[in-house]
Amino acid sequence: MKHTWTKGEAWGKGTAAFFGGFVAFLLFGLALGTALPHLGIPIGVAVALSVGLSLPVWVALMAWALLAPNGRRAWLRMGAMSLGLGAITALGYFL
Amino acid sequence: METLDRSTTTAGASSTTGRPSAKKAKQKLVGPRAFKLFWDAHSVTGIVIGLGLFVIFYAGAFALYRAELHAWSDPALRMGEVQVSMDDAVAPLFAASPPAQGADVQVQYPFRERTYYFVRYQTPVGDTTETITATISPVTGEALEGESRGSRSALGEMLYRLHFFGQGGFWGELIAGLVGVFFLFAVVSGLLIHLRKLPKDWHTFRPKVKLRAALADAHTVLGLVGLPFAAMYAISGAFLALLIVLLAPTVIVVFEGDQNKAFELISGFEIPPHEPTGEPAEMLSFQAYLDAVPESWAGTVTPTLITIHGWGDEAAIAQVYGDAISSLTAGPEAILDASTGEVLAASNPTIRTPLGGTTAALVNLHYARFGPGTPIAKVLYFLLALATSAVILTGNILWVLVRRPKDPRATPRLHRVLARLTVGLGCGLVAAVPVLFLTTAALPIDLPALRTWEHIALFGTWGVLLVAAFAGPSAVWAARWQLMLAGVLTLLVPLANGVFTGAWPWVSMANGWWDVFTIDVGLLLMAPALLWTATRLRPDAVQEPAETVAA
Repeated sequence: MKHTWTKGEAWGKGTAAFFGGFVAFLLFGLALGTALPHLGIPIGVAVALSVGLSLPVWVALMAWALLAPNGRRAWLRMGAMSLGLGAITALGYFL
Repeated sequence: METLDRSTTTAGASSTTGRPSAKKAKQKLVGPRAFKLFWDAHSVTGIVIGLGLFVIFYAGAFALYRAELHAWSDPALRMGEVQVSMDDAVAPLFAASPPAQGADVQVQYPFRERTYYFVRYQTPVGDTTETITATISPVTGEALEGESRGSRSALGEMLYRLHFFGQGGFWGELIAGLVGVFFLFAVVSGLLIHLRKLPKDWHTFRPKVKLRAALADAHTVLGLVGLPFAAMYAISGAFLALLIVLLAPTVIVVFEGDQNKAFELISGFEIPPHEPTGEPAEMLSFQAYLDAVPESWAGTVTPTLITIHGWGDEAAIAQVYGDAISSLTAGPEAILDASTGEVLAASNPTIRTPLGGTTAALVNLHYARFGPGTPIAKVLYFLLALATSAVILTGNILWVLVRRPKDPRATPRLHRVLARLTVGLGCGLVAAVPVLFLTTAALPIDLPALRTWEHIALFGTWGVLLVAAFAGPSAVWAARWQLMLAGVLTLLVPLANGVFTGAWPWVSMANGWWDVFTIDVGLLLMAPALLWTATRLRPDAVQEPAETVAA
């Protein structure tokens, strides 16, 4: 199987992995910090988890964007992930 | 970074892109499509961040010995055993320039490789205050004419800051952090595409075969050996450089902007209120603060730093920091009443809070702080950092070599430039560092413009070698003579240190200047390794046809 990158795919996936992944990475940290205490996990543990896991999660998100069928789908993946994490953050913050 | 399939040749190999065939990809851990994508992403990521990452790792290898470099670069910092207490050491200083009422007074104790006392505080000058910093010999009690980090030379600080692009300020650090994130991605993708072949690749190293296969072997073997180290450094380095980016949203959203709450989660206690009341109070001696630390610190924690907030005020507190001897996750800290010595709050010396433990572990892992095992860990880190530097450079060179057309004259301009840049920035830095050392050793330590000359020596030499790398018949030729130059210059450094400062290795050993001894002997061992590597780079070794190594 040969994979030939088009400019659109390369730029789409690259920007989704970097920028989309960055937003999702920040929201992941916030989601843990705001939501986990509602599940009975102490805030200190929640923030420690966000500090320890956020960067590896960003890298995992990059890989996920890379594996998308095309650039647009990569952005959709990052966007959906960010929306989901943003919703969890909002719920955790306002509840 | 680029990695080659190191079997001899085959059918179905895609020799112009460096990617393996689909048939081979099916044998890998991930599916053929994912394998191809990860392979390309690994290559491109390595190429984009490679040169920056090389600078980070190579300068980082020296940054591990930052404190030793201070002593190496400034003869006044070559100390023996502590003979003068901190109180006696600062007494003349405080008599001449007393701390201002309400000032923050910070004193650092000699600890591990840092062999001197360091003091920083504010003294009243008219209606304002002036910050005093002093480096004091624990042997003679004399204040040394040092800079804020002890040494009058910039050598140690330059290499340390270069390690995270500190010369570029905030943006430099941010870029270093992003390079760390992409490095982690390169490590993960590299692991995924190599995992199935790992047992075989682990021990395949053929330095006597043709250059391209030898480079591929070196890239894969060193990459696999250093894999846990590389992953640890990618995570901890990115964490340190992106700490503000990482924690700022949490502080703003979770703690509603209250930094003290974040601090409490790290330290496990709340800092007592210490706003100055204006009521004067007598401060205790520094020894009294050391004597007053919690009993649980006995035998487990070495106090290293005391900061008194609100000097001479009734509400002043003394913040005592220590180094845990046997715990990676600890960052011991105690708050004392500065006028009575009463312990107001203290963190657990071995089991810190989850957040404090996480941050302490990342910091201690990054700086190779392993209690009594630190010196051994630093040697190991140093070697692994050099190995990772080699992985990065070989990756860049391989990327170019596997895309080399049968007729070398048809090599794309971009590839030629990348090869020359790799040599100029990589080998150029390796040669520029000993020039910096030689400059420091040769120039008088009290020369007012010493730091300027040191900057010129490092960055000027590096720039010249970068330009020089574009001259000559080939990049390999340029790499060969630059590494030879680096080897010879590195060999000269311990000699220059002996000639100009009298610190021959045997003199350092006899006087107990282990920091100086470590640097000189390390460079003496490094020089032959550089020369050997240079001899392995034969310009004619890359003339073989592109198909001889499967790509």
